[in-house]
Amino acid sequence: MRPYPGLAFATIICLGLSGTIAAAQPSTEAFDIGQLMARFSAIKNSTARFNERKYLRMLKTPLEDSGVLVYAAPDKLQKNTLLPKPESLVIEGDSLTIDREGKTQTLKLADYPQIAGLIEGIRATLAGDLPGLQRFYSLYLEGDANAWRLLLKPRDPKMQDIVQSIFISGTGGHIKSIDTLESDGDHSEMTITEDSP
Amino acid sequence: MTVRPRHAAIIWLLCLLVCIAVIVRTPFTADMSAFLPRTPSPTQQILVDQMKTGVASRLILAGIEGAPTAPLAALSKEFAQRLRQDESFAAVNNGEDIGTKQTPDTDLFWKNRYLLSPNVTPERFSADGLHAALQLDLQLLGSDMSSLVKRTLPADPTGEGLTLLKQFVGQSQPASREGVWFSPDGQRALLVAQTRQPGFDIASEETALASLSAAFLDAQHAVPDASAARLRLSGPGVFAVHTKSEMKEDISRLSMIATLLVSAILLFTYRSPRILILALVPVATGAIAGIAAVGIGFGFVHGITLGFGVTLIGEAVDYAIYLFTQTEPGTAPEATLPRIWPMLRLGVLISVCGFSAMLFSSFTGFAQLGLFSIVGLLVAVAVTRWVLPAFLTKNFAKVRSTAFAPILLVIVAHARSLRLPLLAVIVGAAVLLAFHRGSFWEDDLTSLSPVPASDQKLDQSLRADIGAPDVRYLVTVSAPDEQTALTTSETLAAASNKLVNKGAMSGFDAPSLYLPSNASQQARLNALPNPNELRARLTTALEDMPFQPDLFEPFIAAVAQAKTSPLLDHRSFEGTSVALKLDSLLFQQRGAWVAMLSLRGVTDIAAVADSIAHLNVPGVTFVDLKAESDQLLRVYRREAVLLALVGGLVIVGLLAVSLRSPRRVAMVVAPLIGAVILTTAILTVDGQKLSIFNLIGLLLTVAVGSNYCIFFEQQDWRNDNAERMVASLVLANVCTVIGFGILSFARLPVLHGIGMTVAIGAFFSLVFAAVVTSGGRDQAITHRDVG
Repeated sequence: MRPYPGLAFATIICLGLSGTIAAAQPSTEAFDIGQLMARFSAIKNSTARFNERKYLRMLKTPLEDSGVLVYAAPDKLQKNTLLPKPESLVIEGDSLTIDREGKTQTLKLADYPQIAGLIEGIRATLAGDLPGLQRFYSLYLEGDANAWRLLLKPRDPKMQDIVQSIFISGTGGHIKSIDTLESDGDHSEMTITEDSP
Repeated sequence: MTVRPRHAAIIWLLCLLVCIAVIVRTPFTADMSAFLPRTPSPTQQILVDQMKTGVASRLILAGIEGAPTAPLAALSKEFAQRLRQDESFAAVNNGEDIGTKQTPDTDLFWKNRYLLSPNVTPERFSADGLHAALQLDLQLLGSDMSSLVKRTLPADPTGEGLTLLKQFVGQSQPASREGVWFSPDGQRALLVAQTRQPGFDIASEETALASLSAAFLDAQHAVPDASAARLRLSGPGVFAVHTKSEMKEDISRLSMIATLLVSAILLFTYRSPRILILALVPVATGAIAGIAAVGIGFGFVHGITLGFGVTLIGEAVDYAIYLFTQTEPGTAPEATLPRIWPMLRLGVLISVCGFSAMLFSSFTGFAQLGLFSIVGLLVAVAVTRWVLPAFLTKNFAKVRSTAFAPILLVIVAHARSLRLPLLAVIVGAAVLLAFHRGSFWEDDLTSLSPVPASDQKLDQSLRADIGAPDVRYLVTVSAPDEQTALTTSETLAAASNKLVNKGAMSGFDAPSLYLPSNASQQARLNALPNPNELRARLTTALEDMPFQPDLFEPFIAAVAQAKTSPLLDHRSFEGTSVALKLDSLLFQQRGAWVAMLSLRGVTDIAAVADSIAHLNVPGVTFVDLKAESDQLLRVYRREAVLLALVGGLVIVGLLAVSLRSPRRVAMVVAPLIGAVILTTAILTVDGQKLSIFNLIGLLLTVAVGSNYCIFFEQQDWRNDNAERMVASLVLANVCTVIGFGILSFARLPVLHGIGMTVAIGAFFSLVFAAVVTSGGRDQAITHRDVG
């Protein structure tokens, strides 16, 4: 039994938020990862809506859910799912709190080193800390500031057991979608709509 | 007259040889549980036994700090690997996944989920029950928990693994970095080792600690950048070893200092090495006889008893001082002895009475101190009376050893005028005591602990890091056999679950969570349908659900396998960390099986106690460790107060019988009361609190101080020997204050507390005796002073 609760979601909400806070003036110059990072680090709070569709091999039909993502610097990330069932997942500091059906469960990230690596990597992104992010992922950026696509591949073999690759695409400073391909062949697509300030 | 001392000397020599022979065969111990009561309640007995020999006593907590995370983690792995090859340790855990030899707990729980999960019931495995479970699974797949269920779903659609996982959530594991345990701040790598021998087996603990240090140094050489790292250790065994070495160090150092100081004073006074050696003969004989007596009486001698020997150096030397100083130059000791013997005898009797009170203490340690002192003093005075004269020539006191005596006598003569100021001081001290803020008494049991506060702090911080905070509430179950203990544990666990749901506490740990009773395990197996039946029910349950066909084949196989698997017992857990846990929660003691449940985060103590009481199961006790230790301290204190009072009364009674005059008794007792009041005031100044060791010290103050008062009271001040008497008292007092005063530098609270109290008290006793008693019988002293 090797449960890694919320792993994929941690990735997705972190990255999703990273994207939403990357709102910045589109640049016409050559667009590199450093510039993307600089924009990530500029924003301390943000809120966005998400729609998610999961394709699981176990099921004959995909599952859908939607809700709201909230980020507060330096280390609090929240995913509030509203449909089909309300539930919330909060990552703050070293703890992962899951709230569903009136029950709250708190897990220590440190008990799940693979997730911890993931979270620390994501926090590095939010802080605009490129070396921190590169500790956990190989990064491949393509396109320009108006239409970019970032591919993240985990470096740690244990993380690779769970997530194969994450594709984040955006236009300008906005993230439009995050597609996660899990190692077991399942995949999910999340579209993100940033709330107008 | 000349023959008898020679006989006495021969008898003395023979007795000395016998005593030494006894001592050679007597084992010495540093086990601090000798300072726990001999007759505790059954609950206390379980706790004390657990403390001495249980799994908890075998734990050594290690912290590695002082280097960056990466080298610390590497060091932890190298260190642990060396320890795992060491025979002294039954288990070594640093959070590392070390593969097949130590099966991870989660795997163990997963494989036996149908035996362990309380949710395995016939209803759960009916078509309806399965349908409900599958609906929940579908929700979970769509939720943030999806990755948690996805891997296990095909083999466990009813979620037994998750149920077990939740059951153990909150029994938090330490934080982990680079694959090993770390403190939450990442400053300290953590490791827990369990020795094969109990923590109070000091010899094997010493070996284990030596191996730990060696393994650490070795590992340090193997890891680059780790040279600055330090190893910090804690745990009952570590404390026992430290206490022992501290005790040894203190005792050898303090007795050497006391011997040197007392010898220097005697040498200065008598200017004769021969007399110095003779003065030490009663002390040495007394100490040897005392140790031998304790060896015979108790079968072992405690290190602290030896430490107390330091006081004997200061006290027993008094008798020789009285003899030497009060003997006129040119006369034989035989002339002096009849004169001072009545006072000496009364003084010794009173001291012995004081120490006797300690014999009745329920602390084995105190009783030893009492017996040691009584025998030591009696033997010392007997040697002074009957053996020393054999070695003293008629003209032994060549030097006028009391050159300072006339000055003393002048001081004593004027001391009377200090009566009123003294009264004012005593009344002032009494008032101070009356207005003392808060309680007089030290309420914290740890203040009596020989473990220094800094070590206790390190222990607490390591425990907090490792996630094993001190437990306060326990439920103990005592049952005739293992199965009954487990069944009772299950009943209690069910009640505890309700309490957790009600919010009365946050969680609990019970042996039946790891090892359910055979009856429960069998009932769970019976609840599982056979493969064909299960397949049929599952097909019904899966109608109109989006799951892929054949997804749950692993589930059908797992249930089929579980149905034929053997029941779990103790042996099923061998080599896992569950075994350690189980051993600490379920064990055999004094022929009974004891199960222990620890309760976490209790917020509504009344509800918990109430619910457990209402279960009405035999052999169940709810224990509040804090209340229990407070109770223990109250018992100790009540006993100490009682012993001090009875001891004090016996001393007054003895004085009344010997002196046969209420006025004379008052003259002896008044300075002692003054000394006790002023000493207490000084000890409690600044809001300091009294420990029971201080209390015993006050009793000994009376026992020792009374000697001075008796000499003062009985002295005929017109006699020429008055100045010799005063000189001998001052000398004796200085030696006593040195003996006890040096003891107050001991690090062990028991020696420190008694030493400081008696040193202060004995000094005041002499001064107050001079002030109150000196002119007691006549006014001749003024006359002498003038003439």
